[in-house]
Formats: sequence, C-alpha cells, structure tokens
Amino acid sequence: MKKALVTLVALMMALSFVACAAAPATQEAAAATDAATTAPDASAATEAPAEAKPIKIAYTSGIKGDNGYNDEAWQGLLEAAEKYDFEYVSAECDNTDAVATESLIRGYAEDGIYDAIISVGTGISSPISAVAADYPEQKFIIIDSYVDDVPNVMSIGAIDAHQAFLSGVLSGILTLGGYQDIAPMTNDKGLISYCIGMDSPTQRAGAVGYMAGVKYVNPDCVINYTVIGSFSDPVTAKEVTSNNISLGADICTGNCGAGALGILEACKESGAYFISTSPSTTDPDYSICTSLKRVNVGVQLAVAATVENTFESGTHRYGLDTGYCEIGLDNIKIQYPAEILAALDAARQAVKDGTLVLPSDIPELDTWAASNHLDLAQFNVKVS
Amino acid sequence: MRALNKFKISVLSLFAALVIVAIVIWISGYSPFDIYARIFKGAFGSKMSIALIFSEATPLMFSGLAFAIAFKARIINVGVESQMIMGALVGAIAGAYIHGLPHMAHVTLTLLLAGMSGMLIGFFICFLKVRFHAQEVVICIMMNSILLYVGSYLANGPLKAVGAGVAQTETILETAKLTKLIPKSQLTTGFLIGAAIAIALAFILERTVLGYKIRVAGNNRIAGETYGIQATKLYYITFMLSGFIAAIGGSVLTQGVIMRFSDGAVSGYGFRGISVAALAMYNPLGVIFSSTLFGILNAGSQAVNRTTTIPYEFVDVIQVMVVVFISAPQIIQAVEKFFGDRLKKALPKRPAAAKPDQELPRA
Repeated sequence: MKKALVTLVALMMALSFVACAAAPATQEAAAATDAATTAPDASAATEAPAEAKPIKIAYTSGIKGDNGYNDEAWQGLLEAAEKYDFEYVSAECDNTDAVATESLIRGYAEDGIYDAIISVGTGISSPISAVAADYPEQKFIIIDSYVDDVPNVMSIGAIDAHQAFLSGVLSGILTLGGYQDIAPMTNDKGLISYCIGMDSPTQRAGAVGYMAGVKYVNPDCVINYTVIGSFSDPVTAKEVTSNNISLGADICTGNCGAGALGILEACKESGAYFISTSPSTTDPDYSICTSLKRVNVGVQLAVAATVENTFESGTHRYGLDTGYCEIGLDNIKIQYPAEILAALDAARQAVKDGTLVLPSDIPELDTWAASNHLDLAQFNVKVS
Repeated sequence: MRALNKFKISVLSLFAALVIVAIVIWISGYSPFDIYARIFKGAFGSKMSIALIFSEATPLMFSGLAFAIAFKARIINVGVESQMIMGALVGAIAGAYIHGLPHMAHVTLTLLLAGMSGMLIGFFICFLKVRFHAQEVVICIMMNSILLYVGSYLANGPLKAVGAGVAQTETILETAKLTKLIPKSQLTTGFLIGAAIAIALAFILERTVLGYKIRVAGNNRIAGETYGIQATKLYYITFMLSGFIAAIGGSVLTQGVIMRFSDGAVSGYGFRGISVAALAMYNPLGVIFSSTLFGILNAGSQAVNRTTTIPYEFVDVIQVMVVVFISAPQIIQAVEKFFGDRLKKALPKRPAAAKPDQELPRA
C-alpha cells in the first residue's frame, strides 16, 4: 500500500521534471496566440517605436466563460478592436469580490500607462470611486455601475425601462389572441406573468418598461407581477410562473437572473411563451423574442469615448436610440408578419423621437397608460 | 526536534503543492516556470505590489489565526467565514452610525464591537456543541449560510444605502477608517493588528496557564479532566476567542478596504484561512508567515491576471493542495523517506539519518 503510494508520488515528481523540460515549446505557442489576440506587453514594446504613441486600454470584467453577460461584454471589446486602432490588456475578477476588484483596478491605475481603464460590472462603483480618488489623472470608464461627481470617471449604462419595452409591445399584441396561427400557445385571456429578482429601483424600472410596452397596445392586459427575492432561485420562479400559467397566462417573462431558467422550465411544462433578457437563455421553440441589453454596445461606446477623446464624466444612459437596448428576434422559430414588425417599428420610433417618454417606476404606470396608446388598427394588426 | 520536523513537513508540503500545480499548469498548455516567474516578479515588482502582498495577507492572517487557535483545542471552526461576515457587518454598522467619536476611539470601538459579535457566534456554536453534543462542523457550516443570508438581507433591505443600485450599506465614517500604511494602497494598520494578535496568541499558548490548559484539552481531553481541567469551559473560551479574532478580521476588511458592507464581498476568507493555518502547522507565529506567503501568491497572481491572458486560478489550486498535503503528512514523510533512501544509497558513508517521525503532528 505504502509502496504503491511512494511510487505514485515519485512518478508525479518525475512527470513534473518532464513538464518543466517540455514547457518552453508550449509557451512559445501560447505566446504566439496571445500576441495575435491581445497584444501583451512584449509585442507592444517592439511595435511601439514605429507608430505614434498607440492608445492603450485596460479592460476588466467579471469572470468570462459565463456564456452571458461577461462574454457579451468581451465580444464588444473584440468588435471595437476591429473598428478602432488601440492596444489592450484584459483581466477578470468576480464582481461581488470588492477587495479583489479594487486591487485589480488599482494595479492598472498604478501602471499609469493606460489612456483609459474600462471596467464592466454591476457592483463595482465603490471600488472604482476608491481608486479614482487616488489616481485623479487616470480616466475610468465603467459600464453598468454608476459613479457621479467624480471628474475622472465616466459611467455608461442602459435606460432600464427601454430594455424590455419592445418585448412588452410584442407581448401585448400577441396576447390579444389574434395570432394563434403563428403562435398557437397564445390565448385571448390577456394575462402575462412577470417575475423580478429584487425589489430595487433598477429592477422596477426594467419591469415598468415592459409593462408600459404591454399597456401601450393592450391597455386591458393584466400583468401578474411577482418579486422572487433572489437572482438565483429558479425553483420559486418556476412555481410562480406555473401558477400564473394555470390562471391563463400565455407569455411569461421576468428579470431574475438564474430564475429565468425556472420560468422557461415552467413554460415548457405547461405550454406558454417565454421572453428572456439574455440570448443565452433564449429557446427557439418557446421564446417569442429576447429583451436585449447589449453590454457589447456599451463597451464599444466606452472604447469610442477613449479613442475619439470624447470622455465626459458623469452618467450616460443609452436606450433604443443607440441600439444599447433592443428587441432580439434572432434564434426563434416564429416568423412575424409585416404588420407586427411595423407596429414595433412605430413604437421604437416614438421612443427614439422622444415623443414617447416611458415611466420610470411602477406607481406611474396607470396614469401613463391612460394617456399613451398605440392604435393597432392603423397597421391592420389582427385582434381576436 | 519536533518543531523542526513540523517545519520540514510544512515546507515540503508547499513544495509538493507547487510541483503538483506545475503539472496542472503544464497539462493546461502553459509553462510552469514562466508562470511562477511571473508570479514572483509581479509580487515583488514595485513598492505597491509589496504593499499588496501584505494587504492580501491581512484577512487571511485573521482567518488563519482564528482557525489555528480553535484547532489547538481540537475544535474545527469552519465557521470562521460566518464570524468574519458578522464582524464585517457589525463593523459597517458601528462605523457608519456611531457619530462624534475621535478617530482612535471610533476605530477601537468598532473593532471591539465587531469582535464581540464574533464571540457571540462562537459562544452559540459552542453552546450547541457542549450542551446538546452537536457536531460543531455541521453547526458551523449552517452558521456560514445563515450569516451569508442575514448579511445579504440587511444589505438589500433595512441597511441598504440610499440610492444604491446594488446591495450595500452606507459608507463608514472617516473616523472609523483604518489608517493606510502606504498611501494609495490597500495596506492598513489592520496588518499590524493581526500580527499583534498572533504574537499575543503565541504568548498565551506557550507561556500562560490558560494556553497550557487549551493545549491539554485539545491533546488529551480525558487526561486533562483527570487533572481537573474543565474541557467544556476551555471549549467556550477557545471558541469565543476564535470568533473574536475572525470577526475582527471581518471588520478590518470593512474598515480598511471595502468601507461598507457589500453583499458577497466577504467570502472565501474563512476557508482559505484553513490553508493558512495548516501551512503554519497551527502555530500563531507561523500564521504571520504563511499568510504572507499566500499574500505573495495572490499579489503575484493578480499581476499575472492583469498583464497576461494566463488563467490565474492556479494559485487557488496551490492553496488547496497545501491543505491536502498537510492533512496527510504521511504522504510527505513517505516521499521524504523514498528520496532519503535513494540518497543514502548514493552516499553510503553518511551516518544513517534518523527515522522519520511517524506520529501525527500534534496541535
């Protein structure tokens, strides 16, 4: 027994020597791929003298590989890299870990060689303010977190109400019941299920945007609105949604993190349509659309502000006008007829023009709905 | 002699962990030499990175000490995490809502209040252990969850800062903030407080009757009771002391770095403290060094994260492997014997080495 153990450990050690010997070759290969994608310090140093001082960006986000938010943001950086000429380094760190986030950003600020530090994440305003105060010369651009009144921090984010507004318009049209030919699981009961994760101003603003969309075309529709109390509770989300479906809800949505999986599960079990807030949870068979908040657009805006030197401190929110918020109709089976798309365009245009201002909290919804209405008859939208 | 042997086991464990992780790194397609060199360079590259070593080490030192002192009485306090969260929470409340105190008094009061809240949790766990013979490990794990969600609730609800988009409390007052040892760094007097506690613990354990009793209660409870040492009383004292230290560590995080209680910000320190304590062989003075060592690894890995695309999680694997090797010292002893025997054959004229100590390392 003991002998076997000894042999095993000896084997491991021997292997490690082999590992060390074989390493340089693999490292060169890794370095080559690194250089191609991220231009690390070594290649940057050799290329730099030839050009006029290149723009350098340090980028941080939450842990990539989540097939969602952080990967979308990273995609935005890669897209920006094709459009603009700049060099970048990147790092990732759990956004809830304030200590690690701060030291990561502090490290970049201490390097002092970056034109801007772009950080993506929802909970990073406090570490950013701490570091920004210590390095007043360094520009920080943060996405989805907000720091005001600090001259060297620019905050970029979405207008929360815009994210699901068009999804709301589409839901409102479908739940009128006139399109059972293309969306057979809809009915004319006019009931929609909506779950939010936490009762916070941001979350309520997102919810009221959706509700406003529904009421804009279908004022009599009832939206069963539930606070789950967590962003990681698919079980409760599923229970709530199943219950609403049994009451006649034909479209179920929400903004409750991993709870979306529970909503989708309930839709699959009981036969109803689903709207998610991320392409990663969009289901071709059950989704009618996706409420996109395109963080990649945010990252591109941040890069543009750095490269084009349009940095401006304070909070900058973008919505349907820049494409930061949009309705996603990719990766779903339903083909919408021209009249529905025309109605969506009209709603989008009204928001873009500024003729339609969305409510920002739930108590404002009823008065808003009383005075704003899109007449569907003009587009020949079918109503049951 | 025993102390030397323990030291040897702990150094060899670290070395073995580094070797194993080197293999993992190599299998993942990177060069272990390159990564270790980068970690080392990153950790010692500048004044700020050296400050980062000690600021990274600070919370680990507290959680390591808390785990080590409990382990001396053979109590497995895996609830260090819960006590740290409690400390961070109480520190944030006392730091934000007690007005009108001078800096020194406010800092001290906040730390003490936080420490006492940790003692309370320690007392509660110990009460369940002693009175109802509950397994402390199970209760501790439950406590970790309870405090995690209590903290989450308070940060989301009653204590949520006005206008905050995320779950966090109000910023603490200037008077409650720990003094920074190096400006622009995260290094505060918290490190010195931790080191002072380590020295005090070492003194208590080695030079006082209480320390003697704790060690006896841990090493041989029945023999101790025969001599009239009340083990239950010592369990209470040790558990509360452990909770006190852990909670001060939590408060040091609040008062030194985070400046508020933020949902999820204090997490993982409790468990990493087990690695720190194990590497130090549960010796309080050793914890100063082992936590600094992990500080070097963390500071270096952050530099790797910042400047390259190499995954930096390897450092976590090192910490876990250290625990594995320390908890199973016979692996190291076997390896040592294996190489020792080969060495003896190669150098036949050397006097025979002493037989490796086969007993389990004592706390």
